Amino acid sequence: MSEIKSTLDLVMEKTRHMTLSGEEKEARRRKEFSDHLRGVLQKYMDGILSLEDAEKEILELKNQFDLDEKPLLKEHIFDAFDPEGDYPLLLELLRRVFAADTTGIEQAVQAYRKSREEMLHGVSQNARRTLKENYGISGSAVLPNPLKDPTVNASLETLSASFQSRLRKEGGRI
Amino acid sequence: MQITPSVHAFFWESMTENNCNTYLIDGKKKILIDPGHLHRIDHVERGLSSLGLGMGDIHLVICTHAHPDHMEGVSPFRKAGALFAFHEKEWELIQAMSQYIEAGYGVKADALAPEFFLTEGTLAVGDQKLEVFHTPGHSPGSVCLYLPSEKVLFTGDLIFKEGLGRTDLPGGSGDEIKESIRKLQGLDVEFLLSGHGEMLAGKEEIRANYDFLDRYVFSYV
Repeated sequence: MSEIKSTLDLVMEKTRHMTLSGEEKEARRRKEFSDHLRGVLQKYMDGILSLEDAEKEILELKNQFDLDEKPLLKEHIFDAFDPEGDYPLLLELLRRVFAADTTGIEQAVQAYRKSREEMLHGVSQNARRTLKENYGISGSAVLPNPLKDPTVNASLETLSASFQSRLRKEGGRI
Repeated sequence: MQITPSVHAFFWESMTENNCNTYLIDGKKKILIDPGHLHRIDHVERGLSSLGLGMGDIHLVICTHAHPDHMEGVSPFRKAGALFAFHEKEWELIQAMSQYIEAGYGVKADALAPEFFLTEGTLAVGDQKLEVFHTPGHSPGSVCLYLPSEKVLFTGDLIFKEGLGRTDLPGGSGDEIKESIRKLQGLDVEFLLSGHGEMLAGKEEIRANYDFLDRYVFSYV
């Protein structure tokens, strides 16, 4: 009976002669750094790390990998930025790590939220009228679902794209 | 079975297979409450047919909550032109569990989105006026519907005859279900129609049922 090898044995055997180029090693190192940064950001967003602890861990990673954390961290922050979510935490992080003036971003968020609310309110009012006039349905218990309006998703996407564009512009100043 | 001039019940009576009771509120606009499992929609079709009605005659389907044994059967009514509504908190639960719904039922959560949500307040549908009560506990967005003109209370899985809904499913809460039940006790009700099991008929039977729950069940929830 032939020798039974574990999966790890097989992988080690097949990769014994493989080597990475200098560039590949560097790319792998940067990816690992990026993934760790994203992990710290996620733990901070989830409330597992305080702002101080997150900053400390980011500094530790910077020293461990000997890489500039700021460009990647900024990218991850803006990727995670949700104007309807817990964005204040991200603003705090920007202010702490980048000493950033986040006024422009906050204004962009307020403008987005106001536009979104006005748009959905208008859609809801129309839906309420339609429910009453076409279906005989009304009352204080009725809350129209604006997402059933076929034009809403397209409008929301346009609004979101506009916000993202403004956000990146503000981010460029940091 | 006709309960009142406007209310008809399609009771699910099998002891070996689960499904819910379905109710029809007749009027200028016909309202169906809790169509049940999709694969047993024939039960509702037969009930409607006995009244000379078909799926296309239903204007609005209301689900007391979004569990599949109450809500699965909505789709053929929607295809036939009915609108659909449930509580907004139930929609939040569906969205939170969308990956499991898609994996288990092959249905995207967006396909379940209702035309409108219910919140606590009054609901006028044609010539019928209902009161909607938000009664969480069995699920976060469970509602009860009260038809004051005929003193009928539809409770979904909040209350049963000598029982109450389970609270161990996602979003369930023992404290909330008790609070929800207490909230309804002051209503003037002659017929209590629940999601499963027999109806309660008459003020005295309904009052006795509340007493029973309070005395023998609440301390275990």
